[in-house]
Amino acid sequence: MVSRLLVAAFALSACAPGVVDSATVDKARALATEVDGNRVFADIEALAALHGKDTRVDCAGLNTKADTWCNLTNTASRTFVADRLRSLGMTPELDTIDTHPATTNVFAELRGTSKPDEVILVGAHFDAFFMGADDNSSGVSVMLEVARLLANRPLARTVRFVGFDHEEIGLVGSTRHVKSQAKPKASLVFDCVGFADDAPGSQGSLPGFPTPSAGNFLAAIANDVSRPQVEQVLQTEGGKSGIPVLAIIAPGLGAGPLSGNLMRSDHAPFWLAGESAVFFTDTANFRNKNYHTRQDTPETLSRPFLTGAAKAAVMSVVAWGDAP
Amino acid sequence: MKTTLLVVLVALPAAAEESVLSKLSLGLDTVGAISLTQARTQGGIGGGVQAAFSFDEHWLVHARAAWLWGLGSHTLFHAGGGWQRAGTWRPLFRGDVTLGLGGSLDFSVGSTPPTRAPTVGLVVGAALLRFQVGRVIVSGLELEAGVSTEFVSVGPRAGVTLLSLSALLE
Repeated sequence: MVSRLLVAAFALSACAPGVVDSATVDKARALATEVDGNRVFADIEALAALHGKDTRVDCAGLNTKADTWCNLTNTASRTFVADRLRSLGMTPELDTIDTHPATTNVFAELRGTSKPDEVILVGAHFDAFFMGADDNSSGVSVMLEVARLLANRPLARTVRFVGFDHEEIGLVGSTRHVKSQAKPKASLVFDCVGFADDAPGSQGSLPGFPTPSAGNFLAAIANDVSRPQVEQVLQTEGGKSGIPVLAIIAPGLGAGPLSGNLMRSDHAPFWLAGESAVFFTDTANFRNKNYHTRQDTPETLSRPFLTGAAKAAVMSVVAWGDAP
Repeated sequence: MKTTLLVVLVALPAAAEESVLSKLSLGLDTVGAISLTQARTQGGIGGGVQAAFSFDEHWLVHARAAWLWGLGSHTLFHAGGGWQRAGTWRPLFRGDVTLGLGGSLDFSVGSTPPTRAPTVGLVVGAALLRFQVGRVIVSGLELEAGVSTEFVSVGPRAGVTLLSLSALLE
């Protein structure tokens, strides 16, 4: 009995990792060279300015720290995302649910050329506290850069771009999307992808997480379901983004008591539904002292890091969208 | 106090005589273990089963399987041997090879992606609070320490058997 278990366990552990063909890798890397870091940063500045002057979400009844929660905005940034997707030739849709405050996701698709029924989801939440430069104008801007680069070069699979609403209130928009839309083949979610610090000791961590001392890596977080996708990310990226990429894989669906900190963004509802999702992040408050404060402003972000994150994102989406 | 306890335990020969005749034992464990390397964190708490075979009153080989929860769930196998004192107080000193399969937090290391290989380890352990009364062996707070690897990096591993209860077969 034990020997059978051992044989089965070894067979499982020896499963071939996710592999991307060389033609797709070459295409992904070539497209990544077209990432325009200045454009990404300009979008962050525009979004941060919109958050700064947007009408605050009605925080009555949220029953939490007023200084933060009464400075949550989402309306102008949602319009920004919809307008940009429309300008790229897509037809954005709004999906509103009756929550308090109301939650409205925005999403649009680039139809795939040969496998249109298979969907690759690219998402980021557009609600933010204060100016929300890192959290999460950086993620939204990277998503829009991916959309720009793919707009006239559709992939084999359909790519769905989603702006999630009210991540900050409790992953409300992404939970809605998982429950109401067709299951994607793979998902890539961004939350805080613009802050980096090369100083030793700048990266915080938790017991059991052997993260580097310097907070200058992009974390690519997966669970056992999305392990093949993060393997494809690492293979395709291959150091071409110009920033270190650290893959972290949570066991099972990721919902264990010791891996809960890996579930703090919009990928979590996908994980809990058993769907594949990879999460790109600079690790937010484990590195960025401006997290959820008035100091989360564009000038605190790193253009090279942001550019690298966008390149890694482009390569990932092309790998998933075009690989046979 | 400690000396008195030792004298009392050593002066109980009946159980020791019986244990010489009993070669095989089966038992249950409650276990906690952790393995920490640059590429993997694996561990948890849970329970398992064990079997041991004694060659004489001192030397034995044993195998254990435990199912642990905490970072997902994983199965931890031990196989090894050790030396135990004769008598009612039966402290055991052992060395084991371990094999961990299943849930873990996995990390890329440099350009090496998170590995799918099992976790292999070497540990030494001591069961100082281990007693035999008749055909029953009870052990508490058994500690072990060593190293483990998933073939990418090497790091420490540690474990504790909170309570172990086994019975000598006829």
